[in-house]
Amino acid sequence: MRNPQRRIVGKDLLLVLIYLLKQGGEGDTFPIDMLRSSLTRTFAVALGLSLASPVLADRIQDESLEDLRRVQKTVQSKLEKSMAATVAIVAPKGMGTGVVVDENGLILTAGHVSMAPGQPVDIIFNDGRKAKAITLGRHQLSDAGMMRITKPADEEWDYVEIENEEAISESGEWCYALGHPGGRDEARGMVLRVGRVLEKRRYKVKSSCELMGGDSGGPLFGLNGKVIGIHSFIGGKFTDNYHVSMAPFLAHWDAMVDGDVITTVGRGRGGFLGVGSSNHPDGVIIKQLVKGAAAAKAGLEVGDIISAIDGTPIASYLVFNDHLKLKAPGEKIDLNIIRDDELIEMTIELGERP
Amino acid sequence: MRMILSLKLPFLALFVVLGTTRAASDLPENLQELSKSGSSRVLEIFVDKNVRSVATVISQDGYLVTKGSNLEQDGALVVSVGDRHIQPRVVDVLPEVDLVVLKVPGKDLDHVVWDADSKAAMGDWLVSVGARSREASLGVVSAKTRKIKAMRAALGIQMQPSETEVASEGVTIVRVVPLSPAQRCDLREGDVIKEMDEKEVTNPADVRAIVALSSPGKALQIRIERNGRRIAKEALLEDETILEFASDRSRLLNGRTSTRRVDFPEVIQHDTPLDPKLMGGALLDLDGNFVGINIARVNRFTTYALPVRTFSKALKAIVNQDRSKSRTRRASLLSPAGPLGSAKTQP
Repeated sequence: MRNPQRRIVGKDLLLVLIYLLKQGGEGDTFPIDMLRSSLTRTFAVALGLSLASPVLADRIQDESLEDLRRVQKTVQSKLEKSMAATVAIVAPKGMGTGVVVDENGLILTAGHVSMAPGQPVDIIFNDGRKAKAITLGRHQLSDAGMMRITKPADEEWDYVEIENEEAISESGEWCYALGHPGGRDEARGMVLRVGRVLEKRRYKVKSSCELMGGDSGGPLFGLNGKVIGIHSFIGGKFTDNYHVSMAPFLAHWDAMVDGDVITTVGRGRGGFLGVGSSNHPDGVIIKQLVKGAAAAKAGLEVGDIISAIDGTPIASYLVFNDHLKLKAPGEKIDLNIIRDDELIEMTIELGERP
Repeated sequence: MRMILSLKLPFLALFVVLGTTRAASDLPENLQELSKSGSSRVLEIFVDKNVRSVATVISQDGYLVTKGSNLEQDGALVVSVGDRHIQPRVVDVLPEVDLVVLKVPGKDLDHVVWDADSKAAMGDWLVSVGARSREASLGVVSAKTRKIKAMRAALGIQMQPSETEVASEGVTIVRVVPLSPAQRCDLREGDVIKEMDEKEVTNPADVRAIVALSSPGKALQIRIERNGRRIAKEALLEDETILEFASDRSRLLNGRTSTRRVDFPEVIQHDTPLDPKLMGGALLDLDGNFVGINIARVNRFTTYALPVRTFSKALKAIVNQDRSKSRTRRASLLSPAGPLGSAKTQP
């Protein structure tokens, strides 16, 4: 693992997981504790100690058949179009998946599939048609990547829309995944999985659609047929399937199309708020304030409960931390504070980490 | 006809007893009800007191089918029927679809209905019925229904190349592939293989030949020498995908898989995460129709099921033949014209 960059190929998602772990120093975006625990489970499996029951919490027993029928009908009505826009990507370092999002052949994929900008890759559509593409920019922190079909030129490509309203993919929503797990297999074709969105973070979505190496870069769809995620990495449990959210694509669209590699947040050291906090039923409670840092200067007090950040309710300390670390020094955040049972709204400009 | 009704009858009966106003056409409303309606048709199979497989009841007089390679390991077979534990009779095997037909005594057992024309389209929900009242699992048809090619069997060991030494010493293992059949049955580096399936092995070519003649899913009896002691092992062979590059890592993420997961005439691929011990169980659609039998847990995202048409004809033939044989047996035992009676009249 001396040179992780070289070994990350679309074919092996676990490596990405390890890579992210390696990258995860202090202040990394990815929930390192979650990754570590996944890895522990993975090792437990390796040692034959235990394997979680494969019964998924999201596929609950009191699922109404009427609802299931509706989901089935909806997915099947969207499937043809979704599959027509989903492509296999044959890159020099491995196979992955991608999804065409405009008629000019712009493809969203995972950053660890597209890798460096300006590289030629081969594209195979579900009906067997082949095309050439060139890799574009990449958002390193979130694992977002882009490509554009170059040959044949002047073709109008089948494409799907992407979801740009975040509300659609709330936790618990049904979703479906397409891709080429294990690489493209002509006899088998593309593989569908239907599941639920289990968790939503700013830059990533977790779902119960079981992914595998080769799926990397493939699309996760909402039931409206719009792309809500791009397959990125997995953990040891069948429910540990992570997708890049649309947020990094939307935020850096033009730069990525121009072939930029975006490392805005540097090594993941975000802006500094300067609070020590822990979980609270209503969000996180402030236990400590760093003297002279942004929070103290803005008037936050020990005992204040932060219930929302930038309008997003805080489910746990992790969510709060995640959100914070994606912000650069100088960026502003809106906080909802509960102090003495009163709601206070505050806007704070983040400082530099000391 | 009778069988189609049998799925819905328990509910109708219940509603009538309770005197509710539900119409006779009411079907189960949620997954749990649907699963319960099928759960008496799926029975657990124990080998030496451990659940190894589940069987689907295919007739009211007690014919069952399950995944053959799940029962490869030696041991006493017991089927759990209601609250009774019964030793089944092994009727026959269908090696091409990895099914084994069992028989337990029975008169009015709940059983599945065969419709050889049943279809499953990509995106259709499928319900894997839990045995007894265990939870059902849900998934969708996730890829093309297709044939799965045969593959060679693999054990997962590297052997010391045989040189000029005395040949009868056995074959020394120099490496055991992680998560391979060899590792699962506790073969270790340094073990010396003496016998396989009661045949003496003296060089790696012998071992390769025996493995090559076996198929994935088969139990291979192995005698080894470790620290001067003879030990017997039983390896459940798998296919050679276990030897692929980088498969160790990805296999970790697959969870438990079936030993035989290749060589089927046709399978429905679905994304239901199931334990390999649940193979042999019935697969229903949302209307409670029997569409197939789960036959292989393949990897993290794949379970295979046999569509009804892959086994219905052969199974019917086996059951009919066995029934008529049993009738002859009974008749010959009871009637004075049977073997005992007729013996007397022989000159």
